[in-house]
This record gives sequence, C-alpha cells and structure tokens, in this order.
Amino acid sequence: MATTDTFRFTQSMVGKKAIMAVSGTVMFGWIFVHMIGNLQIYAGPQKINDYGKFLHDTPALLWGSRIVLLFAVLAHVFSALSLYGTARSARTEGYRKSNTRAATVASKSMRYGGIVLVAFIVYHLAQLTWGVKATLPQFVFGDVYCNVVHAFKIWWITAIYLVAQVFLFLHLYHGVWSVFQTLGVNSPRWDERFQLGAKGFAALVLVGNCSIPVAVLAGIVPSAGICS
Amino acid sequence: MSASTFKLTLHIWRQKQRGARGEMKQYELDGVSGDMSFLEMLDVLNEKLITEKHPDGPVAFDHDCREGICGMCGVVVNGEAHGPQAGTTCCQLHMRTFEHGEHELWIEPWRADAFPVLKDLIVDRTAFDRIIQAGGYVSVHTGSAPDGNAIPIGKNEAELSMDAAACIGCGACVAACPNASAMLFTSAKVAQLALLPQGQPERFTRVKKMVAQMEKEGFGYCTNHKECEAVCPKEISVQFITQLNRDLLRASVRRD
Repeated sequence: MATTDTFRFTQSMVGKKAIMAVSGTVMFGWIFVHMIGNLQIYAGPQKINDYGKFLHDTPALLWGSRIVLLFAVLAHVFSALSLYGTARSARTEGYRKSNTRAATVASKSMRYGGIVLVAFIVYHLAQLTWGVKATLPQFVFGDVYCNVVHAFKIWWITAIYLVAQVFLFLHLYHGVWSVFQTLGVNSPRWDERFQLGAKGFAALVLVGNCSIPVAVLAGIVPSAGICS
Repeated sequence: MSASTFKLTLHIWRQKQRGARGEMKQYELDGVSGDMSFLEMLDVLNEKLITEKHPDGPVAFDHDCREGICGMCGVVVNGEAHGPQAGTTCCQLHMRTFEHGEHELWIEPWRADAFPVLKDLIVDRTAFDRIIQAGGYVSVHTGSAPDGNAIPIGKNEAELSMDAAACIGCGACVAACPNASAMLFTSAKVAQLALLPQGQPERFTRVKKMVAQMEKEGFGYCTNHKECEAVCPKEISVQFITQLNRDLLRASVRRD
C-alpha cells in the first residue's frame, strides 16, 4: 500500500507530538539542572561565582549543553507552530457557544504560555547572560551573585520573573504528564502516578526558581558590603 | 411523570446546504415536557415550524435508533457535545435535564472542517468511514466456522478490546476536541483489533494506514485535554490514544 510506504513518522501529527515530547523532556531536564545550579546562591557569592567560572572554563560542557538546548527549543517551537496550523485549519468555523469539561487552565495555556516563555527566555538571557545594559545597567561579566542581586532588588523585575515562573509551572504541569501520554508509555495503572509526578516536579521548579528573586527582594540573600 | 411543562428559548444553527452561509436563529418553544428526549423536543419544534408554515422550515437533524447505539444523532448543546449529561447520546438525553436552570439552549452542529455541514445540524461524517476503510482487511481463516474458543484470549484483553469496540462513531470526540482531532475515534478503532490475537498480523501496517487517512481528512492533533473522553457517550478512555501513539512509534521503527 502506498500509504504504508510513504508514511513518515516525523511528518505525521503523532510524530511531531513525539518530537515535542522528546525536546520538551530535554528542556525540562535542563531547567531542573539550571535550578539546582542557581540555588547555590544561598551558599554565598564565592560558591555561585565559582560555579559560573567552572562552566565557562569547561567549554565542552557549556557549549555542548547550549547547542543541545538550542536544537531542543527550535524543534519544540517549530513542531508547535506546524501543529498549531493543522489545528487551526481543522476547525475554521468555531462554536458560537463553547464550554469545556476536562481541559485545565494548564492545558489551555500551552500555546500562549509557550509564547510568554519564549519572550521571557529572551529577556532573561539578555539580562543575565549577554549582559545587555538596557536590561541591567550594573551587569558585570562573571559576577553572577551581584548581577542577580542587582536585578531582583528592583521589584518589577522580580515581578516579571514570578509571572514567568507561573507560566512555566502551567507548561510543565500539563507538559510533563503529556510526555508519557504522547510517547505511549502511559497506562491506566500508572496514569495517576505520572500526573502526580508531573505536578510535583512542576511545583518544585516553581518554588525553587521563585525563591531566589523573592529572597533577594526580602533581603534574605545578603548584599550589603558585597555588591556595590 | 412530570405533569408540568416548560418553555424554552432555542438558538439553532440554520444552514440551507453544504457550503452555504449559516446563522443562529432563535425559536420559542412552549409545552416542553421533562419526559421528552432531546430529539423529541426537536420533533415538537419541527411540528410547530411546519404547521405554522414558518419560512425557515423544519430543522434538519440526524437520528436513527434513538436508543443510544447507532451513533447517528449528535449536536452540541450549550457548547457540550451530546449535551450536559455524561455518557449519554443526545437521543437518550431527557429534557428534565434542562427543566431547572437556564431555559435558553444553543444548538449547533459538530464543528470540524473534516465534518462539513450538509444542512442545519446534519454533518457529513464519511471521513470516519474512510479511516475505517484505510485500516484494510483482517486475516481470518475462511471455510467452516471456527471453534468458539479455539483462540484463547485473556479476560482483561477481551474486555479492554470490547471497551474500545463500544465506539459508535458518532463524532462527539471530534466535536469536543479544541483541535478537532479524531484521535479518540481512530485510536478506539485501532485498539479494538490491536488488543486481540486476530488483529496481530496487520497490526502495525493498520495503525499507519489509519493515522495517514485521519491526517488526510484534515482532523487536528491531540493535545491531551481529555475533552473527548469527557463527552464520549460510550465513555471511551484516552488510554487508547496512548496505545495508538505506542503502536505508531513501534510501527515506525520496525521493518514491514
């Protein structure tokens, strides 16, 4: 049969979803490691600045992960855009009155939440990786600790980060569980555990990441005498 | 028997033919009894429209068995496929469901480009037939009837396969899906055979063919909202979608 011969998994919607699941897992894994790395701020300036130096002194690790991550982001975003187009053309005339029963705030937020996250990632990189002066005038390359402190002392920057983390939470809340569903490893026996695990990890990332700007703003992370 | 009757304000999608511009039209209907089924209520409305010689004419809607097993009926009521009652086709939905509460109903056809509206509330669901056809044949012995229990099948597998086979192909899953995806339907049809020994010979070619046809028909993709499962009158589980994903992945890595 022609359909069998010409069937290309990666061209199918199911295949594109699988690409999203795999690339999403890569990004999730990276986000988790990134959070652990960032939490070292509580151990003081020496510790986190050494960690930053270690990463920059190990280009294979730094650039290796950056390249893998960039590919994951591109694969995720392009699959999402392609699939979104399919969904749009699948229903060109919508309902006058619509209602949902099972969809959650998280599942409904995946598309616009994804756009918010891309915008946030660009802002976050400009501010704390590339050191674009417009986003953080006091940026000093290599002084991770003070860069973070200077940024989060400003309440509205902290607010932007907290809002972004809520979107990340929603994205992971639905996305991490969806991975198991999309890759076909879920089953009724495991479904509840996968859902619980996804929610747990999403909450862990939310709390871990939000704690840093909040701690800086509240003065829990010391800055007096360290950062001018 | 509820002795009292009540009045409804109905907003119904009216469309003359395929491709024509449709619109929501408002009708007032008195004397609705809680004992009527949803389709009987539409019958009463049509009787009124005919006897009053209403310019719109009667509302066209699909129906056949009216006992919830044929899969012909199905409309979206207030944004919910088959109306607000879970596990129920709209022919089995009784008007008492609406007796208390909002007396205003919005009735629309399934909305999906793969299901074009033919007239009013009737849509063309032959896309589903083509997905089934794409599945192809199942290898069976011909000749004399096989022994009843010649092929041993585990109880769990048999029951799970029967759960999938309960699909009546009404299309509510597509109607309810925010992406107009036909994954629940297709996965149920794939799984009912994939779970049984008789379905094994063509298992992996079948899933590829059916998914390819599903995509060709212009249905959307699955984003795991589980809206389909929530409206399915046969309460078919999204676990069959997981199974379809798994089988398709396996089919793609193995040699035919």
